[in-house]
Amino acid sequence: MSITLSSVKAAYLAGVAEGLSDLSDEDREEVIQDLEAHLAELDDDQVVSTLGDAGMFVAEFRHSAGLDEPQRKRGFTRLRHARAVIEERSARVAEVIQWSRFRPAWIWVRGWLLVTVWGMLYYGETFERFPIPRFGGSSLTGLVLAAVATGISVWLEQGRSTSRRQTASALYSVVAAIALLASLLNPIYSWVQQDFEDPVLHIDRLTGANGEPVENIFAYDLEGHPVEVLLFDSRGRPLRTLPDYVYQEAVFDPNRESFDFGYGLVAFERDQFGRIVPNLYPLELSTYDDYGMLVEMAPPSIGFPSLDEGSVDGLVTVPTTISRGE
Amino acid sequence: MDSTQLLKGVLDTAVLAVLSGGRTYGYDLVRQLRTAGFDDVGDASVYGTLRRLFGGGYLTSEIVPSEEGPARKYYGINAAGTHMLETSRKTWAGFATVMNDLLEDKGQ
Repeated sequence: MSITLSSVKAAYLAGVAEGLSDLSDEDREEVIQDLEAHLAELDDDQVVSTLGDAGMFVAEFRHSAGLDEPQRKRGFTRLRHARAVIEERSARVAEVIQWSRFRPAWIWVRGWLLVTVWGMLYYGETFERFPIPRFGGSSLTGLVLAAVATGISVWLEQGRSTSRRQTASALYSVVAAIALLASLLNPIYSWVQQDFEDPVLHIDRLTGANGEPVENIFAYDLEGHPVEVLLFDSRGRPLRTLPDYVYQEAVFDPNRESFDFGYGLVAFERDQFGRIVPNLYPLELSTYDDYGMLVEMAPPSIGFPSLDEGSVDGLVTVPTTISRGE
Repeated sequence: MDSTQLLKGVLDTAVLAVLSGGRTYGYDLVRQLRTAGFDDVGDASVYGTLRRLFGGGYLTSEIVPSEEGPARKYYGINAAGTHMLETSRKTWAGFATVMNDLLEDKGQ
């Protein structure tokens, strides 16, 4: 008769088997066979309360059977015991949340998840074409890798009766779970970064009373002399007159081998820590070229810089014309 | 007095005594010992004792499929086990007589 053990009982048996790993396979199997029949008489919540945890069972069994703790493994006893306890606790938690109901779906999803998140973290892919995974800019590569990863996932799950594949499957799940966590935390981290380290990005662009954007600010001292100033709002955030985005008619994206249309993120000047450097007003709207000729700089507020000269990998750059007195 | 310490010394005999009444499997053996009054006997101790007695050649074992769950391993007592049980029974009887006399004489 084919018997399917609950995860609690399977974890308990695994813990006992681990504790008796110094015995011959035949001897250990006999003990496990007895114990498996014994566990069949118990409910999951009776296992530890009746038998003690796996480590205690092994210790009592060894003492009663006249088996000494193997010398070479004595140093690992605590580690084994800790592992057995963790496995038992994990199994109980899994029972509580009824993990067995969700496990089949997880087995199919984790391969896809690994490839998708790997692409996101390594190649900067996005969920734009969800649920088709992209990898290295290619959906085909993403799909092939996802299929392979899912196949490996299912193969590992089908072989969980062997301890090696069981361990590999557990590692697979752990890596996939970390990838999932990283993908979830990444936008949160980015949001925190923006909110607390790049407050400039969240400041609405200054507009005048007529609603038109303010393009530059000129400050003067009490004697009417122009001065350069850093301006902050009432919350201490630097003011700026550059838009977050500017419209770009066509930018060739070498990664996707296509032209992108729409709005591009303005590349602000950043300091050595990657933080946006606040504007120092007034903005410089003109400069001198290499021949000493006065030339007009593209006003940042216009938002239509030369895409050919000012775009880098599809990112529109706008001269921020910041003078730092260098 | 802690009965656990006493139990360790007589568990072999107790297990052989139960099996002399007929072969049985581990869980049922534990249950019979508890019914007999060995409330503190540990399940693992019983299995350890079974392994030791079987390894010493005092028991037989047979795997019997079960309709209710995994196959059960039934243990039975063989001739060597029966001989050991008789020896233990005499030893225990003599020991118990001595202890009873001692406790009756000195305890009153």
